[in-house]
Amino acid sequence: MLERIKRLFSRTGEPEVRPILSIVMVVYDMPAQAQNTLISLSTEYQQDVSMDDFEVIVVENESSNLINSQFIESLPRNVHYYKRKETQPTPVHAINFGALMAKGDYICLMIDGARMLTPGVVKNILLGHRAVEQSVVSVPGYHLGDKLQQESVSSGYGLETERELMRSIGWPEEGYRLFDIACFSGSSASGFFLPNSESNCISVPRQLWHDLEGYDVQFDLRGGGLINLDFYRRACEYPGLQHVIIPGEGTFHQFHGGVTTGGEEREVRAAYIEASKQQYRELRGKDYSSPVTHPIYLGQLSEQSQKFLHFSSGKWLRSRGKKPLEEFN
Amino acid sequence: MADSARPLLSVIVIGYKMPKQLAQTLYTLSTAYQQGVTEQEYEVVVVENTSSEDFDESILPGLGGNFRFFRRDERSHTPVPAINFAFEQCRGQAIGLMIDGARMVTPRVIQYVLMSQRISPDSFTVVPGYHLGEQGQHFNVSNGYDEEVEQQLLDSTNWKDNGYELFSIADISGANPNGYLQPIMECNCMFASASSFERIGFADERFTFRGGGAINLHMFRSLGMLPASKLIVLPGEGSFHQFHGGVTTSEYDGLERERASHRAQLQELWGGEFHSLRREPVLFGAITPLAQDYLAFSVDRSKKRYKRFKARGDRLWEDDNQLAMEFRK
Repeated sequence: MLERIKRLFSRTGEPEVRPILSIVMVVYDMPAQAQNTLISLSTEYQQDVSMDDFEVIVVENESSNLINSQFIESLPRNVHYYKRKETQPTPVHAINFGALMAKGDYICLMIDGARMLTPGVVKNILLGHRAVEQSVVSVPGYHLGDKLQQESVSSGYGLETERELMRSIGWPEEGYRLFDIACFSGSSASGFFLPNSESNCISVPRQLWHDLEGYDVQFDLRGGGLINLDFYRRACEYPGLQHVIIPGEGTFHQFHGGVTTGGEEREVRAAYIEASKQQYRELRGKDYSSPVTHPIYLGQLSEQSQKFLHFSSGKWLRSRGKKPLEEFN
Repeated sequence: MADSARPLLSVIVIGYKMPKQLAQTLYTLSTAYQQGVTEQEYEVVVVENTSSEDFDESILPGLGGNFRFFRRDERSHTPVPAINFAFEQCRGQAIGLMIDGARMVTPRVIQYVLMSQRISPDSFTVVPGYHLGEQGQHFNVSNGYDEEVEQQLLDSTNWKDNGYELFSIADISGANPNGYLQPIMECNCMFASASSFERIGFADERFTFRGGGAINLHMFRSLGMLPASKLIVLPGEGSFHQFHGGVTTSEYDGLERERASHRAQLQELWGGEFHSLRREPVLFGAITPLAQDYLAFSVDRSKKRYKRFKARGDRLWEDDNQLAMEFRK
């Protein structure tokens, strides 16, 4: 598959069609991870979609560690790359800039370019918007590794462990095997049937993006603080919008030294999270809480994703004081 | 109704000797009960074969202007001519077939079917089946289960205002005893485009057994095996069988013999290759709290099947595979 993806990436010069969906992906200081994410967004990897269906807008904030220029030159025609000089340590301007460049009827936000996808994400986002035009479609989040990376980093989890994990599943041949080497990320840890606090792959109608005025630039902490959670909540709670969850697909966080996902010492991270919560309180006048939505679920459930459905079902039953069925083995 | 006011969907309901059950089923199909839809979007085509216990059609105007009622004299013991008569009356681009008028449905069936038609005109949308009462009703006669007991059960809930309460007084149907994440044998509330029904030749007139024999299983598999069909299962919705002394849902001498003759006819028509539909379903819709137990059950059964198939190296969805191979030829 990798060879086919490489051939696809070197095809240029074909006529452009206005896409239905624009996926905006922000990158900063994570070239290897961003390349994997872009591979997972290619039409060789994504099933049942064509380059005319969607575009990918990559916005990279400058650092000493940029995506390889040869790789950028080889990107397929539906991927548009922008490098920005950013003077503030936040992704907010990059994501709002990316959305400004978007031509699609729907805008999908991926604020952390280190999150690879399963092969049905793009297809199902399109189906979700087709089924319910006024919808917010979100994809649950996972961390590679059997523990949250901010925890496993102290016991030696790092770039090499992760490369070995990905080799063990032969990625990118069978994208759904990512579920075999992952755990729910903290924001999705309550499973599919209880409120989640954010999504790192959330798609909204263009009009909603305008009505919400994009991501809120007041979240100016390093890394953006709770900016992604804030957007998720505001989108999900917007009147008249239907929340659609794609339980059979996922975004998978690759280790890259991000602010909250293992790149900082425990104490620094704890202080950062506290500052982020404090900023949210100041801006919104209350503590952050996950939006309570009444979602529609959509999509196929790959064999590999079923253990997470089982886990989610058990979580839900326990939340109601019921006994879950036996654990998934 | 002029052509300009053509509904998107026509739902066929066949009745015979079940006046009270049919009345309750039709109530569940009215806009007073169905959520998020209008009378203009769908019509209900009710066809009743005359008996000593005819339905009181005077209640229909009270259910809305989208019900059309036809009563027929039928000399044979099969609903097949009634079904084909109903197809001739349908004006929708999509058609729902409820061969047994004794099946009440949950409140978002129509809304989700309309949404699934937007996902694809080839959507084949399936509502999982349940029986009212704690066990399959055909075993319950000897336990004293009858219409009166059932009515008491229904009266113990608030189903007219919250149809999802039907889940609390029901059991999973014999047509999908292992839940809906496994191949399903048949469905008594299924929806496809009018052209899909035309492609399978509507209801096959050879099914002349009492009650139509296995006509519904035959139509279910025929629709599901159309190469373009996209199987969509609504995990949070259901159709609930009310007790009424139907051919295969009540207990009497000779039931097994009669079923054997139905199976024999089916195998003859399918060259000995009739089986459940082994295509991977797309799940669609909300899952309300009362439907969660059945989701947990389905996930548990699916997990066991997955392990079994993995150990044997078998494919989970063999019909998908076969259709793909035929397409490649």
